[in-house]
Amino acid sequence: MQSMFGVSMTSIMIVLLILLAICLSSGLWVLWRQRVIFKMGMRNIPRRPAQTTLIIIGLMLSTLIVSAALTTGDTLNNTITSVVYNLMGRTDELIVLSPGNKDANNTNVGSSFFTQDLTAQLRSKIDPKAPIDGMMPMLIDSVPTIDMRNKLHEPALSLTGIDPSDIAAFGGINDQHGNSVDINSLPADGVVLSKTAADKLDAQVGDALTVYTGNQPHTLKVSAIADDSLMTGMTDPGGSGGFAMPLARAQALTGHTGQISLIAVSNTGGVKDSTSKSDAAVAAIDNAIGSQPYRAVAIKKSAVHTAEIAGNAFTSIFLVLGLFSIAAGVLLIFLIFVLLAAERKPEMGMARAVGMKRRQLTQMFLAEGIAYDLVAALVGSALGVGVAFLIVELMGRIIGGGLNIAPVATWRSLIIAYSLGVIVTFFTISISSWRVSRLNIVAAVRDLPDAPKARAGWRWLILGILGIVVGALLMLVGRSTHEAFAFTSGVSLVPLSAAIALRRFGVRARPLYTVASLLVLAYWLAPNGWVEWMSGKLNGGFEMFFVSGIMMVAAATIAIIWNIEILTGLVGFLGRTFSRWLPAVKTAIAYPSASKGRTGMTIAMFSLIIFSLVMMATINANFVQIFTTDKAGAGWDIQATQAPTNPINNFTQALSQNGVDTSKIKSVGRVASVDGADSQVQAPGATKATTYAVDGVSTDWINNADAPLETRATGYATDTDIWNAVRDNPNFAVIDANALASGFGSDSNSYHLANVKQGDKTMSPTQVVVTDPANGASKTVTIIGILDSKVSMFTGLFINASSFDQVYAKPDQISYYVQVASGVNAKTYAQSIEAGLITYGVQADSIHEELKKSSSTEQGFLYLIEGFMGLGLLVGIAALGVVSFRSVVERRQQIGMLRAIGYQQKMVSASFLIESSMITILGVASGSILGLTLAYQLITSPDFSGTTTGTSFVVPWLVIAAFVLVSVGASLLMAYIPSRQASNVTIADALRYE
Amino acid sequence: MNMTLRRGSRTSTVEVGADTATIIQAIKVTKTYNTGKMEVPALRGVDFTVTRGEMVAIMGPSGCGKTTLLNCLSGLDTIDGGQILIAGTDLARMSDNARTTFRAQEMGFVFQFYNLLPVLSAVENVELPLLVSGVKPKIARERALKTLTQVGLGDRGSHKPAELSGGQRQRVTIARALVNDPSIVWADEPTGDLDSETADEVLALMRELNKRNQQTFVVVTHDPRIGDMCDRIIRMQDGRIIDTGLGAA
Repeated sequence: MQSMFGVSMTSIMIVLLILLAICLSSGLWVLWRQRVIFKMGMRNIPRRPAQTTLIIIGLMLSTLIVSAALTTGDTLNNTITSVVYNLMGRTDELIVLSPGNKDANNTNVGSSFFTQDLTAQLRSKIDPKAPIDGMMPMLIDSVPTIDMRNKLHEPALSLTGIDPSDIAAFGGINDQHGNSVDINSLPADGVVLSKTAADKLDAQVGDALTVYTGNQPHTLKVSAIADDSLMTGMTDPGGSGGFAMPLARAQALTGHTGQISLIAVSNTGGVKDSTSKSDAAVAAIDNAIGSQPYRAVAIKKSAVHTAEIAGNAFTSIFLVLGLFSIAAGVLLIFLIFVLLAAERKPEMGMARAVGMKRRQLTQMFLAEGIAYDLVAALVGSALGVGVAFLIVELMGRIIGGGLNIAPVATWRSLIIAYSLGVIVTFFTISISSWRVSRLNIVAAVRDLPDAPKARAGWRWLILGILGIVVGALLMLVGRSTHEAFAFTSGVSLVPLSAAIALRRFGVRARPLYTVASLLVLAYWLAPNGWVEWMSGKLNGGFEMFFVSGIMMVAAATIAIIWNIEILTGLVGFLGRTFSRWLPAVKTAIAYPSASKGRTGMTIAMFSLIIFSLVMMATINANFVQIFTTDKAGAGWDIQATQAPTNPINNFTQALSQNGVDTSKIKSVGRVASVDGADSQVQAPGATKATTYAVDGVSTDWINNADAPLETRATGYATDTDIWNAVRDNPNFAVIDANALASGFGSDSNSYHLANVKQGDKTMSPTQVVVTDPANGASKTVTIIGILDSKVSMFTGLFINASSFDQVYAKPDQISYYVQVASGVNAKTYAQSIEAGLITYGVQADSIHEELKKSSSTEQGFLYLIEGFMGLGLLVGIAALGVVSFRSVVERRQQIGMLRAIGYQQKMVSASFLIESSMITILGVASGSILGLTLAYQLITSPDFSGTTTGTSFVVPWLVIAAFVLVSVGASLLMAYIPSRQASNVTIADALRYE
Repeated sequence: MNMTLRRGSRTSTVEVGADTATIIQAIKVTKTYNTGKMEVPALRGVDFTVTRGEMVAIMGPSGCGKTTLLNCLSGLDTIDGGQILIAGTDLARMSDNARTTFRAQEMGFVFQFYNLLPVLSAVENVELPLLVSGVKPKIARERALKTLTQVGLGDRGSHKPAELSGGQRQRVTIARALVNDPSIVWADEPTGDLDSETADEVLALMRELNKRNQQTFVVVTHDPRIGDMCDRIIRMQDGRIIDTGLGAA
């Protein structure tokens, strides 16, 4: 990975290393100037080995998350670039026909043919100093292929013609044993099959293949099977592959005598470093092309860049979602040090009494903390690499298709993860050390609890006022820039800060914090549109997921912790029902109620993680419901696609002629498509070139499709009116909902409707110019409707077929959509269509099956992400462990007293288990409720998914139950050992314990 | 033989020895602590008896075994040899559960450092032994408040220990020890953490309750004033009882 969030990784590393050096030097300063203090800090480490282990586990989690996210990005990047390098080999640029706009991002290969003479012409014209060491004319055409030995077929393999005289500069073709295959010496019918094509056809060397060009069969023979590469027709990593033969034979076979579809160009240098010369090579080629209708595309550089973007995208997703765990980790670190301080309170008080200064106490904790920190970050970085490798391995399995994962951990990422982990922990430790150094000496020496204060100190007043000012500023900025992040952060900060400030004036804490936190919750959970008067319409991206979680969990935790006494009301009920256990319940509730800080932090940790998991799972479940309904396929059952090289004049007739029973068909619609790379769609007069897929839909498609719209142009009463207008008038169009700007993940090169927002029911008719960059033809059409996002199978700008033909010389793909008669199995009938139309290279699939397949891949990814987020649960569980172990030590004398006055052993044990369960359940319940509520708000918001009319909100109860069970189960397990320790305390020893 | 002890509204049947006036009987009790490096004998064959309603002080220098003796007598700690009979019952022969139940019903404890639960209010601390014994919450609360009133803290029930003075905390401890109407109250240095004026108040209260309720009090103390107030002083040295002379009360 070269950059993260737009900043170079090397710059990030340098800044972090500087900060790390500052942190370490503060530790070294203590060692140098305060050796005794340093020793005291260090000697605390081996005092309680179990506790030290828990502390290191707790401290390492933040580093683990960062390390795992970065290494996942590195590995994905490496895996995809490895695929790119393997496929492209020494090919760096492609020269293609491009008569239209040369700036268009047209990278599709083989879609147009041109004269082979161009190769010789360019060779003579290109500056000899250009970093180019090879050029080779190639012809690529898509052909249906049958292996005659086993009758397996593929509707579209790439027939690839390569010039044997030029291939040496491109490294040649090697078979699977690494032996060079001489294209020149192939038999007259021999071809070299790519590995993927061989796998799909289950083909072997010697097999006879039948390929169809222009509906005529030709027999070929597999002479060798070679690795996938551009030379063997593998033009993209997910493709079906193809086969190679000498160029002249390919031209004869396809009827393109003297024509080629591209010229491959090899730069000087190796496979990887040659991309750095692409700009110079492209400039030299374009210079030689001059005004001719061709252009050079830096295909390898572009693919490597795409790999980088993909790696970055995954890193960003994992980092943003990992923020919940990191936040929980920071809370854990704080909690650990507060508990350490509580444990050492008497000795700290004594140290202060004999002359140790407050800053020396801070330094002592800091020294100890840095030692934990350095070890924990090291362990976290290493484990993060392991977690990342597991993630990418699972990703590879989810994607399938033989993607070879190439695990890699870079030193730069590890240094960043380590430094970030150490720095985050260091700052948390510094704040908590400063906090714990502020103790009352007498109370500390006697280990008395801090007396409750009627009013807060000046510091809290200043902090509160500062919070109000910052919050108000954020609100102002958010309101003027319409940035949700700033406004919502500000609106959440103001009430909580006001409560903190008011405490200085003696206002009672409980009502104050309750009202403030409920105000924050009310803002976040108010029904859609209720609070818009405060801010107007706001724009937010993926980061809002984290902001909403932090703010709501903080508010809910404050509300819970200041009202936890309400639980004691339930004790009366329990008392009547389970009177035997009443004392255990009473103490189980009383302790967490009294320790608001530590209880709140533990609840917040669970709440944060469960919030993120529940929210993710709920949105996922609802997405599946919304986008995989029958509406997704616009009422069609089968999609039959074919490359336009061998078009079918009459689909139903072709089926009949090939023995397929057409009485099972209810209706057929035809859609000719060009993808975004081959079509420009932009507002009239727009200076920036934008792209968008365009579909030419037939009259039958419009008449028979069930494709509801979410936005209609003014003047149209029904969706049918709009579709009829598109059908009857070549100047009208409908566009899919992707054209609505949506913030995160939106492509800036893609066309966006500027004057319509998600949720708008009506729009003004909007003109756009559609252009075919291949021939420069263009046409102005008016968008009069936006397709409902539930029709997820169809994307692009929809115009009628005649309008499409006016602009686009040749579609990228032709699809036939079939509605089958009642009772006909779509999957089986799709297989019949594919078998019947094999000579046309038709690939037919049941739409329902395809939706299921794509949904299952997405689900796999989401489960993987949820698993990663679930790592944060470890933080909560570790926190409970730390708190429970600490509680046993802290309450030893009280446990002795309880046993003395009649608490049975099992009652003491139960009290601890109830206490842990209660904290976990409060956190889990608060996280679940908040996650579900916010997910409901999002899902039912028209801003989120367009129209959701008629869609019920789905709650993934089973998944939520699993989260709850895992959390509570793990917490009980964690609390079991300390609870046993507590119940086995020897009474007399415990009473003597100090 | 078996006899029924009746205190307040409760009854419990225990096996008693020949002398029905004897409530505590220690016979050749020994106890040794093993520190890992060496064995420290804490009790070396202790013999003594306490009769019902008596207020007995156990005194002696630090480390003589006073607290160990109290812990062993009350069943909080185990003994290595000898026998301890409480109202004729041999605690060593009881299971931990039975011993705990017996303690909850028949004994009350007052400790030097109060040992109140800081997270519970005064009344909640006092009602805890009743709840443990299965008394219904409403009745437990009423009795706890009544007992708090008896010790002069009727208006401090909702206060947490941190909000009370040392003397008030010890009164809460005494209320907690008495709320179950126990046969025996064990007190370990009950005035050790109090100033002399407060200590006097607490002592007077304990003596008054002892006389009013005819409950047996065994008090471990350094404080000679407590000794003076008790019916009898048992003096210990090096794990042995060296004197069981009568007190001045």
